[in-house]
Amino acid sequence: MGKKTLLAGILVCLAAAIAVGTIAWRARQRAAILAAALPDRPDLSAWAPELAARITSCETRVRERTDPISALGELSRLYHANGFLPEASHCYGALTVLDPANGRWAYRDAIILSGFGENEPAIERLRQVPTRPVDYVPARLRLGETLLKVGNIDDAIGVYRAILETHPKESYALLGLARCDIERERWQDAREKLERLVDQTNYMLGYDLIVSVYERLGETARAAAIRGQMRAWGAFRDMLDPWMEELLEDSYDPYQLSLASGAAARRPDHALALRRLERAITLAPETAALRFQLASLLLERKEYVKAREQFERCTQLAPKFADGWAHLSGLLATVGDRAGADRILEEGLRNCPDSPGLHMMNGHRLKRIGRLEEAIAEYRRSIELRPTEADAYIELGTTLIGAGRSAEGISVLESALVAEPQHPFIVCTLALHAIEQRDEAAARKWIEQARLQPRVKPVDMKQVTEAYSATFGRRAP
Amino acid sequence: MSSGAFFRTLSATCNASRPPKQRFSRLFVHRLAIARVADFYTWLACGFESPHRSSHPMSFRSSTRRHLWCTTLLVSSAAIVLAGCDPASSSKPRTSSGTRTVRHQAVDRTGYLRPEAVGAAIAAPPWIAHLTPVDLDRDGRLDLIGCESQENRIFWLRQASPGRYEEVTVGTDLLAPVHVEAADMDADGDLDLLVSLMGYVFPNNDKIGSVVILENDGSQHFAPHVVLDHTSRVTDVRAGDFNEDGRMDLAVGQFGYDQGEIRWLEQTSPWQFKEHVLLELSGAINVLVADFNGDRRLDIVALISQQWEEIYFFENTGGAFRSKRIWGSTNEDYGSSGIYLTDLNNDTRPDILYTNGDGFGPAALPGPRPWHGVQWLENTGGGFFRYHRIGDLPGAYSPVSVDLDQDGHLDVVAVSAYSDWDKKNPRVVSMMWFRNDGRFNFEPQILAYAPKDLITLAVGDFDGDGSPVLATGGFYIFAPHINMGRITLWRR
Repeated sequence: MGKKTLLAGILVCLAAAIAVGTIAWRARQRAAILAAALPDRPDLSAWAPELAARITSCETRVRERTDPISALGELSRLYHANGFLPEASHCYGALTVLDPANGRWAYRDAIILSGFGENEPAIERLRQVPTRPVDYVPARLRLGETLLKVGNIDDAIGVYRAILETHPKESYALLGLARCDIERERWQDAREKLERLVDQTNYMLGYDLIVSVYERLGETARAAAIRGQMRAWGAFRDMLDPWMEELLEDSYDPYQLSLASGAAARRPDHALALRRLERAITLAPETAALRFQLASLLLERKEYVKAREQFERCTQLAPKFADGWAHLSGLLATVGDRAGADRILEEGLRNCPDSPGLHMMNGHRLKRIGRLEEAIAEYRRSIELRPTEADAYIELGTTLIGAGRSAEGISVLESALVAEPQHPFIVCTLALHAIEQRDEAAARKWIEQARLQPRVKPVDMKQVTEAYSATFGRRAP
Repeated sequence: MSSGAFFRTLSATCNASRPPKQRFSRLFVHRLAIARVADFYTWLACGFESPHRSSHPMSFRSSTRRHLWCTTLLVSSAAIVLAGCDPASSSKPRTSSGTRTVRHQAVDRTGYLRPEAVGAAIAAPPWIAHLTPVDLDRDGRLDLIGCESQENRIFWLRQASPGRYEEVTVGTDLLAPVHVEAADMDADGDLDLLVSLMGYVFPNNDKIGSVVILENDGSQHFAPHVVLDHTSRVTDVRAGDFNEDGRMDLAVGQFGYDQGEIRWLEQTSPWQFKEHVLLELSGAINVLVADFNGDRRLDIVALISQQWEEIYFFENTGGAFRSKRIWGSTNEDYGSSGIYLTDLNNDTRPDILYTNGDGFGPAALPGPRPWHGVQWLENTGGGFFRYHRIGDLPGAYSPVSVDLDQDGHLDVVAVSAYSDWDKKNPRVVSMMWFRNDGRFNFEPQILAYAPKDLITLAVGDFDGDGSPVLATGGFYIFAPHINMGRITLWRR
């Protein structure tokens, strides 16, 4: 045997051994990962039997190696969608090794981790999400956000800028950069970005930070103008995240579905919101809160017939739930069925005699038909039951003033400011009343209050100050 | 599906059940295999690369042949060894670095503590937003002070004689008080009351918050001083001499709604304060004051909820503060609901207990989330903290640390509110004890299902016998108003 032949033979043997070894090692590795991939099963006794059946099926498919990746993927979705987060995370640990090309696994695991503030491992996971063939922008946005949370501002800026290079209209990247500017007290830079952001999103994003930035920069009028637009904006919406959204198709948790529906409705994606709620109701058909939410959504869509059905079902399921009666009555009034609205209101009050809202509605009804004293009594009852809301005070106060009982009415309105300080309508009304009474000291006090309230509309302020000047012959404070 | 499903977070099996021995032995085998292969390659490399090889008694050719054979043999062996060893440990699914994944079966211990209603009887559904234990009249018996948000008043639940409590109103016309603390603000030897006022409890971004100090005349008659007003809604005020000038200053948490702040108020003269803004984010729930980094200066820690879900550390650099985020969730619905100062691991460094259970959201009614629960941030020194999950509790609020079973280890107790989303489940936990086994494994033990909707919890030695007594307050905003409790003391 020649030396060359010998050498070749050795090399062939070597290559074959390595190949066999590698294949065997990989096969064993895969088998071992699959064997360890199944989490201990949580207590599912309170859940829909279908969930337990699907979990069993997935576990069997994994154990029997019948399309195990797909089965493990389904299992991870079932656990994640139904709030079994440690179990889901356990599955993702295996899936990221067995199926690294599918970015969902690392991404969803990162969402669980960073949700609990375990940001360093989350960053590691997010960096594992492949950018090809799919560049899943929410994963990069989450990476930027997570880097920001751990104070790694430079890297966060890098991530956000990279996103904006390919997606220049990406609002959440702009928001992230603005937050980075604020962290570094670069107020002008933050302002520039936030102005673009609120313009781009119609104040859905950045409405909160921009006011503080304006105030920092001494632009109080701009800040007040935004503050004045809403009593409580609360407009923030998390980013659209299809990889997380698709989990809900596997949810058996009616409450989480109702939350998802609410979030979809606020985006607004009514079709999706309806789908989520309908699934929730399928799972919990006897739950009044779900019927109420569905009815409210249908009402918003002006689908009155369907909304009425759901409100009616809600009142049947929970006759002590006053909002069901109130909304049903309101709906009937909207469609012109005044008699029906009054009947429902009456029925509601019979079921919920301590509902401040229903008493206030009854006050409106009585006032409408000219039974003022009874209406006043109803408003008083509403205040007694819920002294912390200004609405009934305002109704009572204006009704009393309208009935010529101004002193009483003004006294009630003043009480309303205890329930809701700086209420713009009340402050302006009290200012005008003081001017009318030629009580300059009181008028000045109320005008000063009104100036502190950015929600007083400029047209109302103008009316008050002009009335002041006309009455007292000098400029309003 | 029954709403009992939401107890899943309380009743799941322990996820840390993989046998540790097996895990270690697999790891050991794998490492051993790698070590063998590595040693072989080192030897092989030395054989080829040694500068002294020409002086080796074997010729280069024979040496090369030897190496080739060895390579074949040993690489094959290595492949077989690798194939034979269990690779699971190298690619084993990773579990969390924290304690998030550790879950225990909750044990029903509802008879463990005996409840006793104290204070005024229930008329309207109570809005007890906060309770603080303090011996206000310094008579040696612990009292409670608290906020009734709906009635706009601060009350003192005076322990007039052992076990007998009288409710006395000490502050009125205070709009939506939500937090009260006691501190001697004017150095006259008695305790004044620091009151945080939201102005209006429900969502409102108007500048209607204020801070009022109720000055004690020494006989528990109080005169109000408004020290901050026309500001974002205030949720917490704590005292501390931050600039070490001998006067007590204030740390202020302001939830606001769309805009809010953390600030400190420097006392410049009696009842006069100068404002310093530390952070401009909405959603402040609590502030804590302590020397967190061991430099003998009082620092501030603040919990920020809303969409931010972050905890900030404001390091006192000597009358000024440097801000640092020490924890943050990317889950904008995490539901931060309270922090509490404690030294849980008894290492003299103040740690932070933390609940997330605010279930208000886009559904018709508030409800539970899978991630609601209790955790602690271990102070590791120098302004650094390490997150540890303690356990799950839907609707968790107001954590406290207490050695409830008197076994020498600090446990954690938290209350719960608004997690019975469909109003059908009488078995929604309202108070949970996380019993510390001494190794910081916390076993959940259910203390109460009723009263429901508890948002404040305090602990103190109210009986003066060294045994802890818990105090809870209920806040009821959703009908049906059943299973209510105003102020309840819980003792063994």
